[in-house]
Amino acid sequence: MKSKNIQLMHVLEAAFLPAIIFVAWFFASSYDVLPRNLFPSPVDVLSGFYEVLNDGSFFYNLNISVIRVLKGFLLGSITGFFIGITLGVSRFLEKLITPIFNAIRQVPLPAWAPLLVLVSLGEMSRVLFIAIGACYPVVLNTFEGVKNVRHDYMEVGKVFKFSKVKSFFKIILPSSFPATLTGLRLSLSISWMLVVAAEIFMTSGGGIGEMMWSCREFSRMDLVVVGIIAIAFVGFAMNFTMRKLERLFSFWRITLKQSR
Amino acid sequence: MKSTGTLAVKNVSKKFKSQETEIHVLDDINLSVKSGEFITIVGLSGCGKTTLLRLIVGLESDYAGDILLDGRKLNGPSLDRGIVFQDHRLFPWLTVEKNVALGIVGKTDAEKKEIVQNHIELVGLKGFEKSYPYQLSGGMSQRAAIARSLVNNPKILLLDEPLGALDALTRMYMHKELERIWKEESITMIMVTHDVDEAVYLSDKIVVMSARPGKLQKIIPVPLARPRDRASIDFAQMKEKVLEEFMLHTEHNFNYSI
Repeated sequence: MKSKNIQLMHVLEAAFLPAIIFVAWFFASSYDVLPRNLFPSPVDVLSGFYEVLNDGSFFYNLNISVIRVLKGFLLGSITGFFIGITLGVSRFLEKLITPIFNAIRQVPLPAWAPLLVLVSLGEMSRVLFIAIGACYPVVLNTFEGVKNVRHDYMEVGKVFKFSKVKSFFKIILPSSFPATLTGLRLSLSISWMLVVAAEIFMTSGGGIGEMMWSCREFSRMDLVVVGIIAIAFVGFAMNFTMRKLERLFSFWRITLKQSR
Repeated sequence: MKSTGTLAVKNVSKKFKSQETEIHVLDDINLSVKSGEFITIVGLSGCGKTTLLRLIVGLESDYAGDILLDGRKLNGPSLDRGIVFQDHRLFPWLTVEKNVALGIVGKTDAEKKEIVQNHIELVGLKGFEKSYPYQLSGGMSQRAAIARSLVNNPKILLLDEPLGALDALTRMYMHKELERIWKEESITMIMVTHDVDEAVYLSDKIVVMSARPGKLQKIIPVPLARPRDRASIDFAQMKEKVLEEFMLHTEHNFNYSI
């Protein structure tokens, strides 16, 4: 029973600030502190939300964005995972690739957009855009994870005459997996942020970002705010799920920290 | 019948080189260990006893002299030598049974299962097969580590202060257990320790080492009958004898003539 109360407390604590903002926003709009022609009131936003729910465009676009993000995330993170492992395992490739990787990493993502449009005018360019951003955190975290494998554990493998391949699958991979998961969590959240940019830079594929962008042109600020709230909400849910997964798979590391 | 585990360490010296300095860790160590013997190496920290053990197991190379196991020169680690480290080094992401199964090679799944079960029972961890290392106490973790090191039936088991981190009572209990395992497996054991009580309780021979560079100071045979009684006079005298090597014994007045 106690744990249920504590959970309820957590939810209330988390909802406290949003509730205050909502109330403040409501009163600011009704007493014209926020001019309604520039910034929509909560009532406008709710009615706008109802409108896009009814004509189906909200879930249509949200769905496109979510699928786009998942494609970019999977492409980027799987590639990133292999790059991270390779850099972590081979000192030669680490020396060879790390400098150029660090240089490329500095390029702001929007700068890739013109090049990506050359690659493809369709969905592929948007997915690649997300994938590039999704790749970095997985590379960095996986690399760190592999580098931080305890030498002690590798010695255990040596005593048992493990081959390199066996050491990799029995020691390096499981031991670095929690770090990879952290990378994946960051990567998914970056992907979700990038989808809006991708849809604005490389238009006409639908999606929540494109919806917001076109609404802005029609001065439907209420729908822009609907988009912002939806993005925040989905992003929060994604992060929450990834955190749970992280806990689940790195139970031994978390408990290790607590007990020592 | 287990094959022999006779170890000969001949004129072994070891230096560690860092950029400018050279540290002489072991200097001309000679030691022979008979099959089935229990040897402890006692010395102050920094005397190179752990290095000697790591040389024997094959984790350190580049030394002068010879180390022979059953007459053959060692070349890197091998499954005929097991080691239990000071920190148990169980893999935290694996259960006890999977940790124990880790080193088994060339067996079918059914055989593997049987070996794991037998060794878990040998070290008294029955019922904890599915536990993770973080759920075990220090003593239980070392038991699991001992089981893991024995699965390939090594000829020699090397123990690097495996009980150092345990509380005094658990340690004494583990001495009994270790002696039982040693007898049941009829295996050669070489243990590094700085606990004189532990050394006298367990060893056939105590090797005393001095530090910087690590030298063999004295080999003291322990001819006491097993199981040994810590409260006996013989036991106390044996301890005294070892402590004398470290100038730590109590000096009795009648030893002096003025």
